[in-house]
Amino acid sequence: MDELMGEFVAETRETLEHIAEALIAWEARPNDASRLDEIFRFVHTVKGSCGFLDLPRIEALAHAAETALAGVRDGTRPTDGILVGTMLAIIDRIAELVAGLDGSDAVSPDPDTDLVLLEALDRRTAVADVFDPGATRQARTVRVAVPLLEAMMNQISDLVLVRNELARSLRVVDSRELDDRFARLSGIVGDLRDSVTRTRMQPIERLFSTLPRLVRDTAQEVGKLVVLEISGHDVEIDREMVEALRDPLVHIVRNAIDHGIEKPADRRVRGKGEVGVLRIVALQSGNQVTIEIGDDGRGLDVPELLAKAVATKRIDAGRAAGLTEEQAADLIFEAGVSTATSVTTISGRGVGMDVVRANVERLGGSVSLANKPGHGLTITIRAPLTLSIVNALVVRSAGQSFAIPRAAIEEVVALGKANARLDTVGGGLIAVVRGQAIPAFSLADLLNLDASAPQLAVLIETPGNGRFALVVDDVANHEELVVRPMAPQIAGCGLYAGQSLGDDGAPLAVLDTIGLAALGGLARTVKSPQPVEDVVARPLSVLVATALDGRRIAVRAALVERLIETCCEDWTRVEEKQFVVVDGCHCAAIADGALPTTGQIFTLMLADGSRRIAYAVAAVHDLAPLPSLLMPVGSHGVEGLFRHEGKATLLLEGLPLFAHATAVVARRPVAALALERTPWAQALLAPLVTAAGYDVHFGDPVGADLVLRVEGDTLVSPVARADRYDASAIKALLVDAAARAA
Amino acid sequence: MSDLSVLAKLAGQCIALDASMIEAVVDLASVIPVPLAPPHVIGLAAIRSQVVTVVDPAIALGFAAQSAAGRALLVTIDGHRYALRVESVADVLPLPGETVATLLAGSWASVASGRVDLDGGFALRVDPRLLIAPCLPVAA
Repeated sequence: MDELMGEFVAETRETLEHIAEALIAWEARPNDASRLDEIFRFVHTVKGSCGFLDLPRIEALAHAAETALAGVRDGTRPTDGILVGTMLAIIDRIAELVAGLDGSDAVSPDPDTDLVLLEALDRRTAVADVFDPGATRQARTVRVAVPLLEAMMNQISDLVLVRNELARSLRVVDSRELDDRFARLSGIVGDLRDSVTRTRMQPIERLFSTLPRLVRDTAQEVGKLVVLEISGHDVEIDREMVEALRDPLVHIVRNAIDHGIEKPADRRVRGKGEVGVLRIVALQSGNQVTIEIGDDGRGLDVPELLAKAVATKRIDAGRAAGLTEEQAADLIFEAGVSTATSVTTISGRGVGMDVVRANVERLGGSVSLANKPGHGLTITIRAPLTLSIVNALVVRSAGQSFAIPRAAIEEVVALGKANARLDTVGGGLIAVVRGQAIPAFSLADLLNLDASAPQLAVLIETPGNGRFALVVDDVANHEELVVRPMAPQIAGCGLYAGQSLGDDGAPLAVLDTIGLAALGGLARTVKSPQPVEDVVARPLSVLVATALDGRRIAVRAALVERLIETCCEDWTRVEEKQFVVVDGCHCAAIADGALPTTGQIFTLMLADGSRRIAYAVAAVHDLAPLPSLLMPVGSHGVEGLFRHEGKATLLLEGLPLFAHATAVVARRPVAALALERTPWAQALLAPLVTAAGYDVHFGDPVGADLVLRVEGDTLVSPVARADRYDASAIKALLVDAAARAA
Repeated sequence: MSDLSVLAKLAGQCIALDASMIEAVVDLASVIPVPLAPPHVIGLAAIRSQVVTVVDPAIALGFAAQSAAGRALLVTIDGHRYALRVESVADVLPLPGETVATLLAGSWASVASGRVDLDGGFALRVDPRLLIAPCLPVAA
């Protein structure tokens, strides 16, 4: 019976963690029915187990929670912050009761608290924090020296390799009994490996699991709106690190919300969205784990920081004047230099960035920051690892094998098929995958290996360097690797994240994708929430193509926004104008020849910043520098003639191409019809207003760009009048209004 | 004072290394090259399911390269495991700890701390930790 209880406690603990996370995610997206179902299932499971094990108190709480959720499901109960708050409190309460089952404490938690929660849920009132949600019972632990754990890890790796060898030997022996016994041995070895791994490593998720709650509570306390984005959940990290980083992480997050991110009104004034973004990224590179915490708030006020440092005598005025921007920002790590104007209970007292840095450095790590005044602050914690377990893909190039961490890989595509191909552009490689151009590098070329036969492109996504494609000969298999740091002599070249042993027992070098990107020439960009550029092109160059009518043409590359592929069905002709469907909308287009009836049509999306037009071609060739020798030919729409790769090429004039281009309008102006919804208004007036370029709304004129009313038989705008049935007068009125607004 | 020394031959020179620093003498079968690593790092090898970094001290000292596979001395330096390629290993024997000062030239001067007299020859006492990095010759 004890075993059952033990299992229940362990399982329920895990389930409750999931519920808390799911609740907060659901609060952000109350319409997500699947999320609600998920929470419902969890709560139901807990309730079910309670009934089986005779735990009436927990069952009562779980049942109440389940009823509340059912109410939300069938619409009799609103989803609001109060409900979520109460649910979280109930989850915490259940956790407390469950922990109490562990048998370590004689005192059982006060039953009155249960009633308070149940009532709050019933009455739909808010619950003040009844207890500290962070408190947990002490788990039973022992202290073990790290070298002993390392020895275990090595012995297990040996065991796995010997098991593999045994498997190979057994293949030639035909004994059912041996096979069965070996299968059992194999299973146990696998379990043993997992357990030993877990003694050392934990997914960094454990460090992050309490953050959603922390962010939510802190933001509410200081009246800010914050959305939390976390990535890199499955980066594995030394257990030593997890505990040591917990407090620093909490401190940094609280600081970011309290001091970094501005209040919604302030953000609006600065042209930012009202909701601030806190982005936490965990990545593994080499024998380090990097945790970046970035916000898009106001950043560090460096002059203020300097003034504070001088005022508190941390540094004298003379030295202060000589500091670079970066050195000045670093002052935040000096004790006592907090620019918080008021000491809130959350931050600004006692635990400072100096303590954070000291704690991290004690582990052999480092803390650094990237400050963008007015735009945000990113703090980077680097923590070293002695070893890590990484899921990796083994690739082959020029006869050699390398491992690439799975976390960095977006996708693997086969080259030479319809949706993925390789092009050379201006001396570099570009992979065109489903119409998108991505910078590409051949692994063999990057590593100075002998020529290879590239067949596959591995699409890599690196934070900071963006996406690129690594072209390899072959992809072998997925493996779970125990990665150790490379020796300093090799680590220095920055291309390898570590070394490991493959399943076949041969050493495997693990590639560092960030290092590869840098080697290939992709510059590191400072973290900012902007989409990566799709086309890598030099502005003072031209794109050479073959037009549909067979002419060899070139278009200035600065006008080419991107290359896409369209098909015949997307094209429509209306009198002399042509249109093609792009991103779901019709766009003005040019096809100066017969469109192919089958297959994909290469289409250049041309844009000049305010207008856009699609230009269909037969084939896209190359980027070339702007020709120095251009011969004018006096032909309509052609700037001149030049030679490219031995062929005569026509450089097209830009302006004629945009003659019929579609305007790129961010937002259509709004016209408010402050009049009755009569058939006249809906079917006669509204279409005219829409055709004039407005979004039509009936009713509330607040915030509209144009307000129209009716007085008797006259249509009235702020500056003009027209007879209700005089179409041309109404059109003139609308055109006039639009012109005034422009 | 530990007096067991490993006598080995490197780039035609007899060298003596403190046996307490040498974990094992192994025969490397295959070495996986690591592209773009420094020239004296010839690659990685697996010894008893551990990955070791294979270094050719001959290249580090500026002499002709040895073949990748062959006899090597296993050492651990700063937590990293290395296999130092040597031509041959003669013996492990007690040798006097004191070294005789001797004129050294070229790159040997930066790795050897003196001379050890043997029956019928001499050996240079070398610290293995100095063999894993390129050894710049000391100006004569």
